[in-house]
Amino acid sequence: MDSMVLVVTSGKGGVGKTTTVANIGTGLAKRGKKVVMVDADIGLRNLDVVMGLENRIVFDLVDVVEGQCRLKQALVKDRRLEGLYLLPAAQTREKDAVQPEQMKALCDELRQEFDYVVIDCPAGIEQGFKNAIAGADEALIVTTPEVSAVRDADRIVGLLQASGLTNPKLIINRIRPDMVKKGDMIGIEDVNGVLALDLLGVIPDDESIIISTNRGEPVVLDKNSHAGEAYRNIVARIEGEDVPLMSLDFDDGFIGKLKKMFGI
Amino acid sequence: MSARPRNENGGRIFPIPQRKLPYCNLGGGHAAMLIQKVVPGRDPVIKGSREGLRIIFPIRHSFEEAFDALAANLAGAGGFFEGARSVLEPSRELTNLEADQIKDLLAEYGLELSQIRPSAATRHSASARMRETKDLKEIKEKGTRQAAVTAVPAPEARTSAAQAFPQGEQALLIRNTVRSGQKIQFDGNITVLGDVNPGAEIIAAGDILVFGALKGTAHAGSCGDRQAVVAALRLRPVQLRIAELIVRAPDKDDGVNVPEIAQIRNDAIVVEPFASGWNLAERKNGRIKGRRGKA
Repeated sequence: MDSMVLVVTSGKGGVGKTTTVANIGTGLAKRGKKVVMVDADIGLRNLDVVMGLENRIVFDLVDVVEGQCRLKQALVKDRRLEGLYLLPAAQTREKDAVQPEQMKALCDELRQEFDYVVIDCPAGIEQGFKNAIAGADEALIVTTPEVSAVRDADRIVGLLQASGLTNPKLIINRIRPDMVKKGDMIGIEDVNGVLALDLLGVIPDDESIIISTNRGEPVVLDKNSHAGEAYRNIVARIEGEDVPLMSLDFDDGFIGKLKKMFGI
Repeated sequence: MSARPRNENGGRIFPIPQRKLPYCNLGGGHAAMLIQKVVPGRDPVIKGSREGLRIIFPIRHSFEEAFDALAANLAGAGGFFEGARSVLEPSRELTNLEADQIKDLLAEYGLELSQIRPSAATRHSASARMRETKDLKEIKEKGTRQAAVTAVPAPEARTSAAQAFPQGEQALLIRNTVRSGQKIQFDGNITVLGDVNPGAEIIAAGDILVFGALKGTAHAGSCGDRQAVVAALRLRPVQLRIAELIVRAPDKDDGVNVPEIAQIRNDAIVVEPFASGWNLAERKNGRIKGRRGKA
């Protein structure tokens, strides 16, 4: 099967790109695929922290690009799953340490070995963004249901289309169904009314995310987490399965638990 | 607007939408418009183009009348045109004296007259005038819709006085949604088949038509053409500009969901539902109202 290079981008910072990369990478590896996650956020690396691998880093992406080490030496193997690797960013360098052509060459090299290459794009539209999208086949745009995030995502769509990534997919993160119902938060249709992209998934706002990022355990592995279930669905859709959007009507109270016990 | 207006012979006159006649000062009702000489190019118009400004200068009755109209137009524009090169397109050949007068007038406003180019229509003007009078007579006699259509020259005939309908103008066609951060600038008309998202900018020397939702910023008549219009299926711009006027949408979205058109009337930008034949009935019943943007 052909390898796929995915870049997860957003424009706005803090909407959940790194979390999404960690969970998609982990989810795909759980299904038996060979996955490498690439942190392209040079200078402000986070992917290693979210994966819980920060004390296993010896070499990083800039070392590889500058020829200080071989690619294999820089790849960090995940502590839980077979077939999952991380290529960390440099923390002490800056975004101009890498050029788009170098990223493209790197992605082509990674393509030989792995089924999926998932790239974590930094926020913004400058050199970091250009580097991250240089080697990608497909783009995933993450946004939250907020006007400012949607505005930035729209800008990113324009830039992606200009760079040849013509059909980015959309992930709406941190949606709060109760607020949407009350009309306090813009909903899926409003977001996609502006962006007009294929919807890959919708992830509800979930406290378990905070716990998982602090512990370095991606939430996709957690059976009880709603966000985890959403990520599992997204991974299934990336693999080509036709999974309907999960219902965002959560009933976690006592009566809800009682209902679940009786299978209602 | 209760009953359809009737002309003096009792024949019915189908009203022509107001926006199609930018050169006529819209005084009385629709009937009055038809019985008056409904001819485009009655007033001088200043249009932007690749070479600079084009001053379309129709001379209907006398040079003095046209000259005064041009002076009034320039005075109204303030210093907007300073420093621009301009090409004058009179509807007939000018004498040396007349040319000098125009040169001086333009110099007063900081405009450099680089060329005088009598429009091609000078050849046709006589026959065109004859055709117009004949058509107006037809309306009075028959009062049919057909005659009404032929009598009213199309708005596109801006480019020269009395070119036959349906002569059109060049327009840039954009067949995508224009995204935030994208800027489309063109020395002519722009049509977008799609939305214009907030954060996007459309700048046209001519008209802007959006076959979708206009949610970004639009600037029509960017070289000073106050006759330019902005129209959209859903007009919700962040900011709307025509020539040198700027308006923003009212803070409360009144949820009007009909195609609307914005143009300058009496020194202000007026937004009203776009009316042509197909929705005139609704307009007549008062179900569609106009609104004004805050300047």
